[in-house]
Amino acid sequence: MNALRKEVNHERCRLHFARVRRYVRFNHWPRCIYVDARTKIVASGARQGQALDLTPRTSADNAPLAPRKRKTKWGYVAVLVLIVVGGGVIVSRFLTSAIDYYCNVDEIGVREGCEADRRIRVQGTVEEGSLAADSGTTNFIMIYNNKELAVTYAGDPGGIFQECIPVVVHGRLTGKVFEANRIEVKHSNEYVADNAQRIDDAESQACSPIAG
Amino acid sequence: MNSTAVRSVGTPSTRLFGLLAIVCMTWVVVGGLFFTPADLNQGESVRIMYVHVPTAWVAYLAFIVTGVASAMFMFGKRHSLGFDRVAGASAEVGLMFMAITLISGSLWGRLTWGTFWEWDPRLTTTAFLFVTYLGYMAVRGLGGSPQQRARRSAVVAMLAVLEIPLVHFSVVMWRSLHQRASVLSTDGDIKMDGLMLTTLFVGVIGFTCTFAWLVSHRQRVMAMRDILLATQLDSALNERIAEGSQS
Amino acid sequence: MSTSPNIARVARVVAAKDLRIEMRSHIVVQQVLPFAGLVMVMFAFALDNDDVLQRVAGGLVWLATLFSLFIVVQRSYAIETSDGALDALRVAGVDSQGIFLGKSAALFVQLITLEMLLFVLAVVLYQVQLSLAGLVLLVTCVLCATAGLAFVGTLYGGLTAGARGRETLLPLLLLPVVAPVVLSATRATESAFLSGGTVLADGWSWVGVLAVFAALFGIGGLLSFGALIEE
Repeated sequence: MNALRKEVNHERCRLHFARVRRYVRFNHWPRCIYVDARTKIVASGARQGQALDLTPRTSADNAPLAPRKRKTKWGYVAVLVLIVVGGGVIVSRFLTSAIDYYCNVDEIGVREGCEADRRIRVQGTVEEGSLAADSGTTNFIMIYNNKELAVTYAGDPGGIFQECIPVVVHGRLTGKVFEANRIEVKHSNEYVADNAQRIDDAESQACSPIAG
Repeated sequence: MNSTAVRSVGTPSTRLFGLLAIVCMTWVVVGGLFFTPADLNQGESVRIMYVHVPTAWVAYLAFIVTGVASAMFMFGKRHSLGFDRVAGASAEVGLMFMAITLISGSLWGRLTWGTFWEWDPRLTTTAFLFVTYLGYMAVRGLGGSPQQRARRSAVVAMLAVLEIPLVHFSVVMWRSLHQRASVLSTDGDIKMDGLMLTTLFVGVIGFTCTFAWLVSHRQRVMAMRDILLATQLDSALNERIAEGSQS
Repeated sequence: MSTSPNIARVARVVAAKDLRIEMRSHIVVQQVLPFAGLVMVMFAFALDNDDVLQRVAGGLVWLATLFSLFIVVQRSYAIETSDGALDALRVAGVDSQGIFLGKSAALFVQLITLEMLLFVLAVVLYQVQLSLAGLVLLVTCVLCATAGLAFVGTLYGGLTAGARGRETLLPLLLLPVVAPVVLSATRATESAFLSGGTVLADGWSWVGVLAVFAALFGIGGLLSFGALIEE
């Protein structure tokens, strides 16, 4: 009986913090806790003099003791993958007009989702020299692919709004002028140092933003 | 039962990560604020990029680690709970980094775009990803034994990790206000000048080391907590057995 | 040893059980449908603008469905856990896939009833116009969206059923997952109602997304339901 207790204690996992690292290997500690507990229960049974049959059981006798292993149904997983891919295709090819954030200036009335009689979001570049800010109203001309659109906005657009920068305006086209009630400035993904001695190369825009 | 009180769960490897993280972050802070140039269009507000971009990448990394660890738990032979702990720790830290990305991005947007938030594909999918992982943390908090928690959250994590390509490529697949990737872009062209790029990469290394340090410590604390719970079970069993043998 | 009943039979039995319980207790009909109707009326009070209501009617219907979904899913699992019925089913060796399909089917039927009422209310309260082609689109949209909601609700309901303090987690878990369904269903419904200048063709693409979502969660649920409800 004492020998049994010694064995059990020997296996015991203590909450000994300095040795935590050794036991924090992935799965040892819960196993030894539970094995420990089971051993104790078995040992206590033996202590009370009951005959405890510890011979291993095979699945030939009685019901199987080990839980039935769940086989991953790979057929289902394959169908799942196909569905995800199919969904991706649908969303990326057929729903572009609905998910796209803006229409370009030359697409108004032409592209699906950019009808001239709805509230739309239009993208274009602020034309050089067209910016006129009166008291409380900002007027400018947006250009994209050589198509122009006159915009009027009640207020002062925030952000880095300036000429020659792409913007997205939200609003409605009334007659020839686009009445915007929201302006967002779109900046490109290029990060260029603001160097006063920068030499313009042939590929830069004809219209250079005023450094601010 | 001995209890040698210990003050930390640090080990030489985590101390290395920590030191590297401090060095890199100092470089990024000093370099980002003082030595890197302002941008041609965005001016001084470009400096937020040194926080916004690395935290976004590390958040993606964290969620991928969660997905991989969950898969290794579910499909591994031993169903080792250590993988589940890494998955949980990584998701927590990833959530924190994603929150930093969203907040810094929002401030940057106010300065450049003129608005704190708008519902273009990139921001919408990112918000969706964030809320999904909030749900993952809720699933982890449902209670029950460590094995139940691990099984449930593994299923959720493996589904949630599919959203990451959606978020990253949303700017390529659809038109959005958020600009396309400057470094991790599909055409392989890097559109950033010298010192900015260097500072950005140092920032990525610094944030990744911070991530590794946080996840290591967090999963060790989780392991200790699980040991504590199991040991309480252990001592309760002892008491019952002692009662039983006395009668 | 006798072979366990096949999945289809289990599904039929479980679905019939759920629907029979509902027919005898009338919980959904007497409590959830009036709640959903009231939500629609509340929207009208809150928005207080006929033009706006007519334009966003599609979205409002699906929001009301979403709020009712939480209640219906919790009810669906309350009947299981109150007497340990789900545990008994598992212990009896019944295939968890059959349970998943059966409960999803019953949830689908309850949700369809709910949505029929909500769309009738939308036509009456929000003055929505509906053409025949729009009706076809609407019916397809409703069938696909409801299938998706039923699969997701059954899956996550199984996750949160049972122990104390878990029921309140269901909305938090469910909302991010059903967000694509609500989004797509709203767009498809708006196309069907021709509100805001949309055209019917857009709606069919969104119905495609709904079908994908339903298939995704149907298969995903079949794969993982067993693992999730195991205690």
